[in-house]
Amino acid sequence: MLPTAALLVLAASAAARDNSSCDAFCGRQFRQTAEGGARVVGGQAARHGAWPWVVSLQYFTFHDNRRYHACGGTLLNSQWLLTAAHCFREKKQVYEWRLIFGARDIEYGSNRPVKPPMQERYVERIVIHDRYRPGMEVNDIALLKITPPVLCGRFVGPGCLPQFAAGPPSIPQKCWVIGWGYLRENALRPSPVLQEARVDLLDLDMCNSTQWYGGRIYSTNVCAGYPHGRIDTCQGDSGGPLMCKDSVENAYVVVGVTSWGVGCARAKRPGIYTSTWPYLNWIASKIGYSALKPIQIGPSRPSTPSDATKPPPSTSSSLVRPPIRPPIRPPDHSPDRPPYDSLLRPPIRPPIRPPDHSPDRPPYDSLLRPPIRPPGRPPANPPWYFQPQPLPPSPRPPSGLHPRPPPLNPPPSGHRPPHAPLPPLIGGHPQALSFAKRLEELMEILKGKTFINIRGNYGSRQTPQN
Amino acid sequence: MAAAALSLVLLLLARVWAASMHSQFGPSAEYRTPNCDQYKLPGCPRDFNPVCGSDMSTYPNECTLCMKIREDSHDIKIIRSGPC
Repeated sequence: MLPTAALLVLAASAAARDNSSCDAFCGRQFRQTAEGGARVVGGQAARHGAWPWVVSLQYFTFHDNRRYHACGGTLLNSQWLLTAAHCFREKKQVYEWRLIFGARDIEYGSNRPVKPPMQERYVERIVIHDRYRPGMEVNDIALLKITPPVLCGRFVGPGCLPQFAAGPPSIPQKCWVIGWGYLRENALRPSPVLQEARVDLLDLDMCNSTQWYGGRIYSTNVCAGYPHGRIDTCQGDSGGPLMCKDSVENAYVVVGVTSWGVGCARAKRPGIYTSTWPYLNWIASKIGYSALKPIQIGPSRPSTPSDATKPPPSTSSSLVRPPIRPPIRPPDHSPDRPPYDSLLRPPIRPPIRPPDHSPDRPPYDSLLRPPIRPPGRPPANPPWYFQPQPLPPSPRPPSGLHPRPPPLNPPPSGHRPPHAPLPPLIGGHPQALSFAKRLEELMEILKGKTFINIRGNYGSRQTPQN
Repeated sequence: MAAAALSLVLLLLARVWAASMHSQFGPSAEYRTPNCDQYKLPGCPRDFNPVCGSDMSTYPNECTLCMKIREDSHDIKIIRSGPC
């Protein structure tokens, strides 16, 4: 028999874990991935719920209401996801995108609403790194603001990012990549099933050597794959996470964002990822430091704090003597700004500041609207593409008969075009359970089972998404 | 009269054909020259934003079509956005 006070404490903790804000326990897998399953290109189908933070970014066509997978992403919290900037090189408008959470199987070109536990959401804002250089894929990182906020549960949960003091990911290390990208270099369609594969983090100098990438890799990149190729990310995997398991916390840390490569899975041409650690300050400046803190885990190397800004061994030497191998170049050659310096020069700044923060410059912020609200706060007015009462899906015109063209000039935010068809969102709005209901549920659970460790039990409680 | 009817039929056929040429990604200009100068790396970004090449191959994005042009050094135009 439990005292009432203890019951209330438990009830409160259960309510706090009602996770609709996705603010608890990043990097927890509802279903463990089969360890040792070493067999994206050269990968294996993931189990549903194995990677709750993976998101499918889908291009949306207005004329037929269809969605086409284009990139991956990592959920950070109920309102933000991390992805690659190049995904928005051509499709820059928020209304051109739909986001699918909690998915394992996706249908390319579907015009049907997703089924639970999947959730479909709109994009409220596209935040591309203000120094993204498309031709060289430097600073290839972006954040998307999700609307309405996604609900976390068994199949949807936040991923983790490194600590500020973590430094670049240690090498060698065995990590994972996931995505719905091509299963081979010359495939025709993205994979309908989420793939996962083990990859090794590779030394940047080796990756940048003449026989490999010949000096095109920056210190803000991570290189992952195998010298002999065969297992790699490919087209359709961009923006998705490169994850390494933290030994202490036993959770995956997203150390990279899938960016580019020569072909896929070729020998000496491993995948190139945007390292997340150098961009932590940039991410925090957009989503808020208080939103970043709960999803940071991993080694902080407290005993050797200078590691965080220590230059990679051969980087400094390649700046001194004529390089035999091409040097790792600083990521930005814009003349008006110094390059990221803390990886390349002796540390001057305290180590907890990754090199990338540039608060003095306004963000190149989706080309659409200036950030009026502080990040993390829900919008005062829902955007035009979010319908509180979703419209029924408009009937699809028969194929071959004058499809309706997409709107050429989108209206300013706050106004919805009169005839833009919008599919209903499945997964719905938060249906808040009453406190009494929660208490009742909890009583049921307590009657039936012994209490399970809360951390290990992450997300196993039923949430409104189911 | 017969000529008028024939021309009407032909016009209708042309419209149906034109409508079928609208790709699944919406109408787009035919035989666009890819903007290959923007891709300065030896590789390509790994997004899936397919284009249909004039060699009737689907390329996962414009960059991969540009790489094919570079490798084989013959010209390929973009027929439309979206797979072939």
